[in-house]
Amino acid sequence: MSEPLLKINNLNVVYGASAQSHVVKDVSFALDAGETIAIIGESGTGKTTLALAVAGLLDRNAHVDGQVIFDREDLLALPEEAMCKVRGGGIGMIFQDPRGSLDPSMKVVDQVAEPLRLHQGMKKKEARRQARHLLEAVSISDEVIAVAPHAYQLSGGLCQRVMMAAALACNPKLLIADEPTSSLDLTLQAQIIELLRERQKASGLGVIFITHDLALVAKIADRIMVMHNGAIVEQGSVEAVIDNPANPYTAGLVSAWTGGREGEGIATA
Amino acid sequence: MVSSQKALASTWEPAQSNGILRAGLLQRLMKNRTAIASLTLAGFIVLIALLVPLLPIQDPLLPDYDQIMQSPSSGHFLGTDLHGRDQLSRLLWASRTSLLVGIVATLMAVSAGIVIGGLAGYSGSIIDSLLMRFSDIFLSFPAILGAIAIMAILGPGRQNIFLAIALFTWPVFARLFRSTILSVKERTFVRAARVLGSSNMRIFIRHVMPNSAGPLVSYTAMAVAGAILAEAGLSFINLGVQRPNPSWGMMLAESMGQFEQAPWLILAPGTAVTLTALSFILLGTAVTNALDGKNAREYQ
Amino acid sequence: MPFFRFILYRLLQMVVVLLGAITILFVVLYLLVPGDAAQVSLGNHASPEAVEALRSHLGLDRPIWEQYGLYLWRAIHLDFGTSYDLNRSVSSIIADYLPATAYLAGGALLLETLFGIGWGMYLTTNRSLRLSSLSTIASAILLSVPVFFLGLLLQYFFASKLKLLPISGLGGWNPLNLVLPALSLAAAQSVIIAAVMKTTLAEEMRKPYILAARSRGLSRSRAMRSHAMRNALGPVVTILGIDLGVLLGGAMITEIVFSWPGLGRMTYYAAQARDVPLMLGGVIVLVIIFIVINTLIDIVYGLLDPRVRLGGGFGE
Repeated sequence: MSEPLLKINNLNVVYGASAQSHVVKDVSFALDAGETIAIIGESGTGKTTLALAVAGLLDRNAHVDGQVIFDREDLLALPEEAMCKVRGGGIGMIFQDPRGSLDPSMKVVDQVAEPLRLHQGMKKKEARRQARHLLEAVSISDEVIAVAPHAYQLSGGLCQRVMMAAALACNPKLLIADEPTSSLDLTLQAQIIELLRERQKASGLGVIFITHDLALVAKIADRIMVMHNGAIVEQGSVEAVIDNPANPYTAGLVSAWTGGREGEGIATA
Repeated sequence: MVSSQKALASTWEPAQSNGILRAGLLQRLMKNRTAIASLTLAGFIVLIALLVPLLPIQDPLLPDYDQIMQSPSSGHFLGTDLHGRDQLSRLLWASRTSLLVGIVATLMAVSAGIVIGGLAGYSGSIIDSLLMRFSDIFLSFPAILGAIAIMAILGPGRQNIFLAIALFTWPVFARLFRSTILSVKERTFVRAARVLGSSNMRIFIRHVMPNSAGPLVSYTAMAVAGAILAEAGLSFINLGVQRPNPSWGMMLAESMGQFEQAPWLILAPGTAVTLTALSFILLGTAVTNALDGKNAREYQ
Repeated sequence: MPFFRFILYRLLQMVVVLLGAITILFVVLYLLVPGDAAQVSLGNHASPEAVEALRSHLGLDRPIWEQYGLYLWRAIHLDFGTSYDLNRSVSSIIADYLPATAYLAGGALLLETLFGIGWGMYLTTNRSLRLSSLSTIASAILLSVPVFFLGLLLQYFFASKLKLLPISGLGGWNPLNLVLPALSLAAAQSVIIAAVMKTTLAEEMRKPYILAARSRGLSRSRAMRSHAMRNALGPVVTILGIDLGVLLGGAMITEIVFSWPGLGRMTYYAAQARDVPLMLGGVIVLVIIFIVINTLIDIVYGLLDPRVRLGGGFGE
């Protein structure tokens, strides 16, 4: 069983007919079960597109080619129906804007129950009961959702927990987290990361963590991949990349971070 | 019918709320086949309406009881009606009524809109909110019902139709001008112009008018179509133009029971109203689309 | 508490609009009519007794503020006087004709809702340039056909030629009789519903919660049905309320084409007969119905969707 959980070979994404908008260029990497890989880079560099391409969620006008082998199956070759089973079943996702990622008019419990009904064939009542347990597991009590059943009544941090409960409801093997904490303040960010780690320890979840925040990467990732203009410019263990960046772009990112950190230190001192 | 256009216009509002006249609107319109077709059609109808008095056609009002409900022939291209009047001639003369109502009622609405919307936009605060609540009352009135009520009180006649239709169309234009003024007022160059001593009138002509020109054209086209349909409806229920002056709506009403025996009496005026309204509605749609470049964005 | 305040506020707004609407008619009737309103309304051939009766009914011999007070007082009590023609109280005549109009407008509202929402959904799922242009042209045509012309065409093809449906009349409330009039009345409005539906639905489909729902395994169409739809319906419901006014106005014309025994046809004959109290009463009742129903829609909608009540927009 030395097969990695996810193996991406020469993934390319081009929008439209012209080659001008080549958003993801020839990306290849592998991820083992229980491992966390962080993809960093500036915004607009193709990180989100990469994540959506893995989950098969890109618009119809995006041309994707290459291989996305998950659980020994090439996802790009799967028909849409089978892909729907993978999403939420084998692969869970959480996003940058937690409140916007929840349907404003549906109770959050029902949104957590949704994948259970879809993938595990649960009846409405049963799924809702299970969803309450799942929310409990991310520290959202019954009382909270009784008082504030809708997303607009919950804080951003709570919304992101709901999203996690929904994404992990069917015990997926892979979680793609697209800047899940960048709209949250530091305390909430730490709570979400802690939650993620717990789940990872318990179930051997593989995580792709997309961020532009190096500090966060240092805390959670096993490996790091630096993306620039759609291509992976550097990858390796966290220590190796941060302590000794080989690529000038990475060096820039690292020095901006350390510089920022020193600045912070001075400001708070 | 008037308020259906209103509803449609309001769904388009977001795209137009910035009200900026984009450079090259005219060029984009000229590339748009719908725009060209609708402009041509509208132009053709207007041209005919203008030329009617010069055309060698029969008297639209002259009855001939020996020739009742004749089917189309070389003497009467569109046959004759229940009173033996020449249908083609009535149809052509009615185009003048229809367009006159469409254009005059809309012009009245636009002028009232400029005055009231301008007043509200410039003065702000209490006067603004009073004027807007006032326009809300007219907007909340189902327009065609309102027009019917006014016509029922005032009785048939052209001037009354102008009034009855314009009375429920002006708030749309008042809102348009008000929102343009509010957005233009805040822009730097207008503040600068004000500091330099430009008069309000000058600012209105130089800055507000050009900025509302795009939406104004599309609203106006839709309003003309609405007014044409409203006139047809009013005349159909005998609350429009005064008999025996020809109007498409009235022509339809008079021959309503004759579809089996004389379908041309129904089809000709019905098609005429539809085509005339259609040309203005398509024009309005084309301008709206050209304004927000919708097709290009949505289906690239 | 916010519930009560919201409802109170909307009701207050309704009263203002109702007063405003009734006042507009007053201004037209009493102030805009040149010369003697009673004479003008009744036409030149009216008998002096009829003119005198109308004059005293309208209170034209009293000062203007008294006229207005009298007029308002009566409108509030739905007292529209006595019909000249039928010699009965106007409100009782209206009560007789109202059900048929409500039935017709209700049928048309149902048709336009089903058709408009269905069409809007279809356009959102099947996006192509050709379909979109086709639909734009078809919509423009449907918006341009006057309701009476469409009604006559439908009557000719479906009733006279194909003999599929009854040509006209209420026919003892047989639903088959409702089809053609409701269809001609609903046609133009359903186009507007479809346009609103398409725009809002497409907007909702671009929101992040749809992507998130799909990431949980919902197909695009299922995400649309179970998530985007509920959020897109808000604006559609509001437009439906506004449409009701158009339907009531259109009903007046449709009823004539289809010999439908409703308020519209009644008002038409009242106008023909210069029966001013009956005609004004008919129109005022239709306007009141429209405004009241719109307020109710707003209130119910506010109760269902707290974001509206709290002043937020849709899907923000």
